[in-house]
Amino acid sequence: MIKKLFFVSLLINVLPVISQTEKSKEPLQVVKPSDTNSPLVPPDSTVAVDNQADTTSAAKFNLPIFSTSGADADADMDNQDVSGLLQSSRDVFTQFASFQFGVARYRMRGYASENQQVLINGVNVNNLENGTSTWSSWGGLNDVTRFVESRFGNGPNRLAFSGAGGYTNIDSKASSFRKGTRVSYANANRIFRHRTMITHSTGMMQNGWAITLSASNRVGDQVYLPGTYINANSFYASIDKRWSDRHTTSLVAFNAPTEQGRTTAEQLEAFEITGSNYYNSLWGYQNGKVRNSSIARTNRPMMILSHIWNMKDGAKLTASASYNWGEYSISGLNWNNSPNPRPDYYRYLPSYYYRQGETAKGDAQTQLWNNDVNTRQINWDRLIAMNQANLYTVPVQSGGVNTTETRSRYILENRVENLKNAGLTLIYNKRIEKLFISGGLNANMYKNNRYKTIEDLLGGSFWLDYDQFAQNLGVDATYQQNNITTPDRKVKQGEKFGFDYTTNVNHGELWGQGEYSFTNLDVYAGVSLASSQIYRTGNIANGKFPTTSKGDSKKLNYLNYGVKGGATYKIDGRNFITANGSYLTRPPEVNNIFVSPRTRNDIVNNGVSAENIASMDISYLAKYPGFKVRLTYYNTAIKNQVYYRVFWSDEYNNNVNYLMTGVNQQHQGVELGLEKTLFTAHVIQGVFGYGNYYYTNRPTAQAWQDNNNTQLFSDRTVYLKNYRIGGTPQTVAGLGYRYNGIKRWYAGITYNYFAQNFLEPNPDRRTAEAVQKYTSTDPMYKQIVEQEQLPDYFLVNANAGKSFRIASKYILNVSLTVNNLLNNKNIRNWGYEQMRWDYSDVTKFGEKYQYMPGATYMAMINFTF
Amino acid sequence: MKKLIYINTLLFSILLFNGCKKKADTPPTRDLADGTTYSTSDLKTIATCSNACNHRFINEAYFKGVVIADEVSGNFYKEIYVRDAQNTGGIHMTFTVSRSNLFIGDSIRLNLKGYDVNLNASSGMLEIDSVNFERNIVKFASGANPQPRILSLSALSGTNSYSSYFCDLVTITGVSFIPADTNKIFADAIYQQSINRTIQDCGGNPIVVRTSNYAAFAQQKTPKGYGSITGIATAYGTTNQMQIRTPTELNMNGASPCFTYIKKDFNDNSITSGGWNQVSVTGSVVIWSTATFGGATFAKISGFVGTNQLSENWLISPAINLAAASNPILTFQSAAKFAGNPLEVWASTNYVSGLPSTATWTQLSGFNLGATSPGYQWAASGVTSLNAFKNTNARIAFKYTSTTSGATTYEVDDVVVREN
Repeated sequence: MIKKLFFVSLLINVLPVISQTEKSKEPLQVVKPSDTNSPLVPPDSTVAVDNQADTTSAAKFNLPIFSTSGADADADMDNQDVSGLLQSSRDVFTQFASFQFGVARYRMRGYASENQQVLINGVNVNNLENGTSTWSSWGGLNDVTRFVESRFGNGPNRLAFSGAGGYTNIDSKASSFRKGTRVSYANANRIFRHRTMITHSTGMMQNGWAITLSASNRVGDQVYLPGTYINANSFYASIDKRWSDRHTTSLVAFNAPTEQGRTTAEQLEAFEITGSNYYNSLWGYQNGKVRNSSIARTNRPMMILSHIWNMKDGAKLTASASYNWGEYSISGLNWNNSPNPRPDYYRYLPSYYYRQGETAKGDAQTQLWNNDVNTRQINWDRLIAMNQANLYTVPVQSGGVNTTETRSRYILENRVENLKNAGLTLIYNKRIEKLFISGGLNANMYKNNRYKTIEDLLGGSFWLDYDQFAQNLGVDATYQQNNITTPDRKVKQGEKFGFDYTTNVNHGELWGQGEYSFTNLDVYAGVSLASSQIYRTGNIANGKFPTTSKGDSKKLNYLNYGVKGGATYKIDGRNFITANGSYLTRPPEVNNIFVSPRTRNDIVNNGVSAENIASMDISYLAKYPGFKVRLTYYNTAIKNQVYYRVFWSDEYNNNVNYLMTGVNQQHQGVELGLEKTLFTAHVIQGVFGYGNYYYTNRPTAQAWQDNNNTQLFSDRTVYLKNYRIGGTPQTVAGLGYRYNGIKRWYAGITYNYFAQNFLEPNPDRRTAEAVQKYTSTDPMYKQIVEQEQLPDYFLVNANAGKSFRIASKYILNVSLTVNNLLNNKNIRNWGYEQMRWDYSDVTKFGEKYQYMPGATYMAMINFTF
Repeated sequence: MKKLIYINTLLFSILLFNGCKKKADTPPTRDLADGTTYSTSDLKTIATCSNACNHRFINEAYFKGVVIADEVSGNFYKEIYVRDAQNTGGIHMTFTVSRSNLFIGDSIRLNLKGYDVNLNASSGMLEIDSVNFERNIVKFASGANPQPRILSLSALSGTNSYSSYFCDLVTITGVSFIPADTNKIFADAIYQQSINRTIQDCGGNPIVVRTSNYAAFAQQKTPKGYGSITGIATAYGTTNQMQIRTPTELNMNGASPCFTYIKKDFNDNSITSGGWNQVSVTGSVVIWSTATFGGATFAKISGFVGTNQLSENWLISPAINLAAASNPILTFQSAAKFAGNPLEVWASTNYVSGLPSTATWTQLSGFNLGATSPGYQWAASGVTSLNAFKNTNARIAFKYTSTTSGATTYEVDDVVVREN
């Protein structure tokens, strides 16, 4: 790494600083890949346990990074006031992070997305339960989410109080768009095959109205990864009415109903026996047709009604009411008293037999994997046949023998989150000479109803609403009932079953910020005070916890605060030094507060205290015509987090709720980005990010059985200190060259290097109990405890495009991007350790990985008139 | 330019400050001091039957060894045998669940804390029951190739008894399955019966080969030949037995140098058991009967019944199948006293029943008989070839005669027809 760093340093020194008088009118653009919103590989960081317990939040680690893509960004209010330091996409490091490193699951500074605030027209759209922002909510609406004000890291924010990860505000008001129509079509081989978008905007009309409409469609069927598909539409409508110079009302509504067949991570063995690094176990043939079992569906519209009042004294007040509602669901197989239907279940892999010394059976299983698609993939036809053959008489209803109805052994279920989130936002901005004050108020009432529905009975007549893991406890027949008011209920297609609970968050926040400019020094300071009330409401009483599953849980109240401040010292007109710091507290992720949120109201440790985040960064920036550089050192400590997973435990032969409290982590590192323009047309960019993200303490773990009140253990020390945070390369480097032709064409190539990529550790493997039978010299000790580092790798990407002006009125753009130009299909860039593991043999439930796709392209044409 | 140099300096200083990778935390382990490892002989001593045949470990201690029998073939189930690292012997470990994933050649370490080590009072095997392999056994290496201890049944005695090999991997040399147990299934997987088969050496010393009906090789057949057999030396109650790991470890293809077609030792106090028969031609009061002297049981005949009798009595063996024999021989022990006709030995291939005169007999010679003076001294016969009688209906007979002038008393024991 040092060597690479030296190379980059050398580059800086060698490049002559040629000052250029003519400022390029068009800001440097890397062509916007359409698909930053949906990651190339659909996320499935779910810990694939043997049954339905998937709890790892996938969205949490898809850190959104936006880039503006137009000179129109200059239309931002008070742009000229921002000391030229607003770190928008024009920051070369951020550009690389989003367009070049995004595919590698690179998270800037290692932050989870909860640390970055995302706003639409000033309204916070981060999920109130876990802080994440799901960019897929407006996937495909590229045309109307282009105008972005973004600042990564600590810094001033005139729209809200943001902390370590900074913020992004999407300006999506109808009047922000120029009059005109834009039609675009893209063809790609990544997620979608075809994307069509159309947007029309009236601009601000004479009568004070502005209307913008946009729609898009993305479709793809097994485009790159077998069994995956996408079927997505997006709609957007916005109407602005300017009542007077002082008052404007704006209504924005959008929805992006999306359906996506997913892929999953696998053990290396599965890739090896199938001979493909893109093996996907989630699909199979039904009646000769490919069917995916894991389908993510989003249908979550959002409406924002804003009123903007430009007061006489120059102050501006924006009041917005927002409502965000709808469903998000993921489907998956569930089964009762039948063999596991997942083809990659560990007992179906040849290694299961080889491990037992049963070589002949192992060889036979290998043969099956090689030759029988129904072994490799889900055998839907067999599941259906088994269901159809399962005539079943419910014991309590045994007046006669049931000869007509079959009980499904296998079903496809949907795990649904049905959201209702109403919000009110007030933002006040005012300039008083050299002081700029901002302040605001947010209030939200958030209710997220989680339940299961039956997507498909797979040929059976009904599914019994039992907890199959409680059946074996069978002392009392009611124990297994998921809903004691409707015992032995036969669930039909589309009906709710299983669990049904709502997480409630009532949130209010008051914040303020002042920015002051001295001659050579800009300073700012901000504060925030927030109150949250969090509780669970059980909508049904189950037989396991008849008294604690229904109704409201204890209401947890959090009073949180945040402070931040910073200064920019202007050495001269070209060189700046800026330093920022922030400290804030926030409630833990709501789902992690409960011992077993799906089944009961019990609260971890009878209440978990707030997380806190302390962050600082210091940067040096130089901005010369034709040359710019930013160097940043950052250091962020995130403390007192709660970690929660549900997984199948062999030891307890049950689903286990695993909780870790008091998790501390630290993120520090250096970012360097530089850009040099040579002879107007040649642009060289270089970035280097050295990160060091690790856990800093020994958290405490506890575990609870899912189907009874037993605490399996508590106060177990997890020896996690100095383990690396997984899931992102911690060190990256990029080098780009771009040529801008005279006739509005360009071509570019980038080289990107990724290093220090670790697997997120399974905490249970880092306990004294996990290694209790080993001595420090046993090879297994190292196998269990040591964190896996993925191999370093590099990617070469290229892009080119041309813009035509037709009749000086119309613009036609064509562009092409190619990722992974060398078509390297052996880049294993992400993985995780399974929570389920075997004390004697860690390879039995080995690590699961994903490979990065080989060469992929996207070709786009758009026409603006 | 100056600033750029400054940047570099800053960059490097930050990296130097933070660049060193911090060592990841490690959970504590229980590294025990030397001297807390117990060998098999240590355990036998500590669990001695003067101490209830049992010892419970309350503190942490280790047993280290190599797995010598695993569950793969199915002949062992929820159990393994392990030979200690000190090579003093084996131990039997049972599990409450199967599929321990511990295989022959795996080097393992068991933390003895909380376990009872038993010296089984009836069998004498060293055992640890209900071992939680998941929690307490560590496989720290694999691929060892533990070699069997080699023993011969005839050499067993005293401290070298079979029980001193219990739970260990042994190879017994110079044995074959007894004729009744050759070419038979090891166990009955169909009717779910474990089966005992018997092997014996040239001296006729037997041992039981016990096979579970769950063994993958249960339906395979026992070999006919002579050679060596490898397995775990065990006992069931007081019966010594051996459990094989796989039939491929039976090297019993050779022709037997000592295949015993028939052995009559009269220890059952019967003259006629096994198909023997005596035919009195003359003087029916003179008959063979069993007698015991000095711990040995044998057949005895005397022509002196009140007075010397005139008699002719044949003790005829059952039909012996010597059709496939290569070099069959006869051996026996005899003792005698008093003057009279010497005992004769005859052989036939066509005798069926009734008087000896109904068949053709050939007199055999060249064997030693016990001397009549001083008398009752056992003498081995030496080897008498039966090469001339390779027939499915070969029989031998001891022809006793006495006259009124002389009647020798003869004692005969351990009549063996075997391959030489």
